[in-house]
This record gives sequence, C-alpha cells and structure tokens, in this order.
Amino acid sequence: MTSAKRHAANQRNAQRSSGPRTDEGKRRASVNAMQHGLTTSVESSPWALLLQSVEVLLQSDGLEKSQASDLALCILNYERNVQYQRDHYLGLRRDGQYKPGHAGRYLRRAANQLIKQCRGLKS
Amino acid sequence: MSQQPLSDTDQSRSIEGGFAPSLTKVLGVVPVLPGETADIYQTSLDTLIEELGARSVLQVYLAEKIHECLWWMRRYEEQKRATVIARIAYLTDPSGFSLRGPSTQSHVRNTLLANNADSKTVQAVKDEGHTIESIRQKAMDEKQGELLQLDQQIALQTKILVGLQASYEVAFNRKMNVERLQLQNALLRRDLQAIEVVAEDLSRHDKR
Repeated sequence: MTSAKRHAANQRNAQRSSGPRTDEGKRRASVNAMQHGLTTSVESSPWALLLQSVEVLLQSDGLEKSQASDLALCILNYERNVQYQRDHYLGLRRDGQYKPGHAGRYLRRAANQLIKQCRGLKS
Repeated sequence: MSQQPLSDTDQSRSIEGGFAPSLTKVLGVVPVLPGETADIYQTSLDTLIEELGARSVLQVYLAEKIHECLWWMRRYEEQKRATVIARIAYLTDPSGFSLRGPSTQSHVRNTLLANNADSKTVQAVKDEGHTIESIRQKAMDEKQGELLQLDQQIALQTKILVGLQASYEVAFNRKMNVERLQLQNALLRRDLQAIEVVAEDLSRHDKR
C-alpha cells in the first residue's frame, strides 16, 4: 500500500512529466484511451486489409465500384462488431456471468448501416 | 480474421450447388464457438440458403447473416437455461464440496442439463425445502438481472434478423415485384377497357 507521502510525491513528479519521448512511446500512448476500437473507421483498423478482397467479390456479383466499396465497408464493420460480440461472449461465459456492456449499441448501429446499404442497391 | 482461401471441398460444394463463394469464409470467420458442432451449423445453413434460393455473393452473405442471427438467439436461450440451472445447483449445495465422488452441486447441474432429474436431485432440492418448480422460480428471481440482459440480446438479434430479411426481400425480389406490378397494371387496363374507360391516364402514369 502506497503511503500518503509517497502518493503526493508521485503526483508531483507526474506533473513534471513531459510525456512519452520516443516514437514508439508516443504511438503506444496514443491508444491509451482505446477500449474496444468499434468506433474507429474500418479503413484505419486491421479489417481494412480485407477491404479489397470483399470489394472484388462484390464487383463479381455485378455491383458498381462505388456501390461495392460502400457495401464492403458496411460488411466489414458489421463483421468487426460480430467478432467483438463473439469474443466478449466467450470471455464472459468463462467468468460464469453474462454482462454485454455497450457492445450491443455498436452492433445495432453496424447492422442498421448494412441493412440500409443493401436496401439501396439497384437491382 | 485471417484471410483464408476456400478449401477444395467448399469450392466443389459451391460449384455443385450453384452457390457463389461465401464472403464469410473469405473473411475467415468461424461462426461456431467451442462446444458447438460445426456440422450442425453448416447443415442448417445449407438448408436455409437453399430455401431462400440464394445464388449471388451478396444473397449468400445475407442468408449466412440471417442464419447467424438465428444461431445467436438459440445460443442466448441456451445460456439462459444454463444460468438458471447453475443457480439451482448452487442453491442445493452452496459449498459444492465433496470428499468422495462428484458433489451434490455438480450432480444436480449435470442431471438438470441432461433434462433427467433423478431421485438424488429431487432429494437434494427437497432438503432445501423446495420443489423443482419452486427452486427454479427462486433461481430465476435471483438471476433476474442476467436473464434480462440475455433477453435484451435476443431482442437485438430479432431486430437485426427482421432487418436482414427485409433487405433480402427488397434487394433481390424487387425485380419480381416490379414485374408483378406491371402485370397488375396491364390487367387493370384491360378491365377498364372492358368497361369502356380510357386507360390513357393510367399508361401515362406507368411511364412516369
């Protein structure tokens, strides 16, 4: 247990800190506040690696390039949310208690975007 | 999320069945969780794809997502059941400790999960001053919060399922609906001509 004196000294020292100095440190600190990454754009997430393959497959289905591109983003965003839901569910099932948190909100939003995009397709 | 090539079996299945390649498989998504049977999942998915008549990439993808929603709903229902049974087992034997053999808690849990409450289970419940039904009520009452959250997740999946089904209908049956409407209009025009009403306005409206 930290003493009150030590705690105060830590706080004083932290006030003098100029933050991370190296590029790696800055990069790590830049994601300190990230909790689940579901609100970041798909293009800046690891899912962006799959964007082109999905677009090509959708284009082979007869969709125009812009339509395929928009739909691919919605599909990957939805898949990202389902993946998170799956991991979250597994983790919580191991703990013996189910607490879904706020993940449902993002899943609902991603599903709505996908549904809207599919409805807007020209047949 | 790794990118996996389609296996030979998947490709031959797609070609034989006239299905487009599965987007989900291209994304490398494994839909089943540990403890679930992939074969059962695949069989019911194939049946659904065939029922919906999904052929294109997007049709197959939407059918897969519809199936996934149904699977999640089933999964949450199972979780609800497991939660109540685990609580019942805890209520019959809170310590869950046994020197010899399985504890009463694990015995009760296993028999209830197998839908096969034997005399030992009934006796353990009776010792706590309950019947199977009354202890189930108590367990549900105590786990109300968790059950409510699972119900909310089922409701969310239902909502997504309805949206996906509607999208499927709108995106792929639209052409059929347009043709149906044109036929209905032609029929209406013929009927109007039969009762000597000029159908000019109607045809102009159609062109617009």
